[in-house]
Amino acid sequence: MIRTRNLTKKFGALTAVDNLSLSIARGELFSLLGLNGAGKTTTIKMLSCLIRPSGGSARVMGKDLVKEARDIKQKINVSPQETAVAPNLTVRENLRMIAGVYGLTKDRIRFRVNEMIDVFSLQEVRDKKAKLLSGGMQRRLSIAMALITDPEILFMDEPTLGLDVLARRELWTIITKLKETTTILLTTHYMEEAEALSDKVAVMIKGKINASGTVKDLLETTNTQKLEDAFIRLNQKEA
Amino acid sequence: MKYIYFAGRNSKEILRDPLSLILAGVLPVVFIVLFSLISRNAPIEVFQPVNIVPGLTVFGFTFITMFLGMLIAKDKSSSFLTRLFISPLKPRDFILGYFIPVLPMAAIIAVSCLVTGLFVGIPLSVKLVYTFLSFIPFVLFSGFFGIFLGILCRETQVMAIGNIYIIASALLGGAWMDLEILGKTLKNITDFLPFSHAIEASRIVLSGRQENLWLHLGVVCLYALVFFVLAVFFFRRKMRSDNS
Repeated sequence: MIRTRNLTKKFGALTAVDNLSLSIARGELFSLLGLNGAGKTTTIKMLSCLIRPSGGSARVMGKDLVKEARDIKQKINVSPQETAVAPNLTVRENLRMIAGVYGLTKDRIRFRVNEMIDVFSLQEVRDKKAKLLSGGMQRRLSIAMALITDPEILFMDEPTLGLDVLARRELWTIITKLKETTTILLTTHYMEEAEALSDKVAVMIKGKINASGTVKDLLETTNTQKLEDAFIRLNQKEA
Repeated sequence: MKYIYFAGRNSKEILRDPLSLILAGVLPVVFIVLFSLISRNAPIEVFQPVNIVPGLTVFGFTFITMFLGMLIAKDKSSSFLTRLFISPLKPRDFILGYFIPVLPMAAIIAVSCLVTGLFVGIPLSVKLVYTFLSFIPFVLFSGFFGIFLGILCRETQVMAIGNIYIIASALLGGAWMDLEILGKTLKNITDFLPFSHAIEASRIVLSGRQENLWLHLGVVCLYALVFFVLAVFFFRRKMRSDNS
């Protein structure tokens, strides 16, 4: 579904992503782990066609990341790190707007809006303006806006950042259900989240993939019991 | 037609701010009534309905520039525009999506000012329709200038520049004063700006005169064209810079 070869992004003298090569299969949930500034968000920005790579190549759904960006954009969606909603629009209007922008038919829009409202338990606030919602509810809406278009690939940049424990667990349940139909690339700082959700994980350090595989693979490689310990060991080793 | 959904969102974002409606819709109407009342006691030419109504309508349009610029600057500062840059929207969809809300706003301002004009002494005639149409070039300019400002400036900068722009348009456009009192130098400057030409063109149409109409409209059209090109250029550049 996603295959990169030596994908690189430089900002002046800084190499944010350095010769990244990875492969994500259809229906897989792949987590990118890393400290702040490791290159996770830059990787998502490149793979979602927001920024152009400085080098290397990538194919998303068999299409070239640079030359066929328009085709790719139609079939992917992103849940950005910050909540991204239109503040003066209601929950329903926000969902309808994004679905329309992606070209869904009117009937499909109506169906998907109601579906997202149900899935994300937004019934009570569906006619409330987004700016009046709590932070957690805004986050849910922001993620629902990423899912309403039925993307084949969903990029989730720290989706549970700022959510309370209950809201986080609810979102895990939704993500677990999504795995049946959608390929997901997720970045997170929460190791228990990656452990609970991921089919595969990769640890990024200074723009490079330091280790990748299943959680079990990483634990074996680092001779640890928990993903957090494995993550710390890999980072300490690199330091 | 994807831009229609984006345009709908932008219309709601602007029109749901009560301050937008008060400043752009109500303020010019209040001023028209006020200046018309003054003109009954002081026979000042520029306060006559046939002069003051076009002047204050154009003044009302200048608020559109600020509201649109603010909306774009706000979108830029949040992740909202990033989300849309990842969507299949093309640069022309963004320009259309941001420009389309200008049309109903301008129509509301123009209709409310012209209808108020009927109550303060402008006779009901087909000239009102022609006057409405004569506003189009300045409305185009207002929208494209708003996009240009929004894409180049931050929210606080748009606020500051927008306020200066509104005051400048009022002073240098001659909406409620004779430009001759500004002196030769300032009067020459006003000739190079679109405000006085937009106002004068509408005054000519409303009063049924013919002199220099196309010259005045031509200057405003030129400004609209220049800022259309600049808006498109800088918007594409913004999308490219996020993509470089």
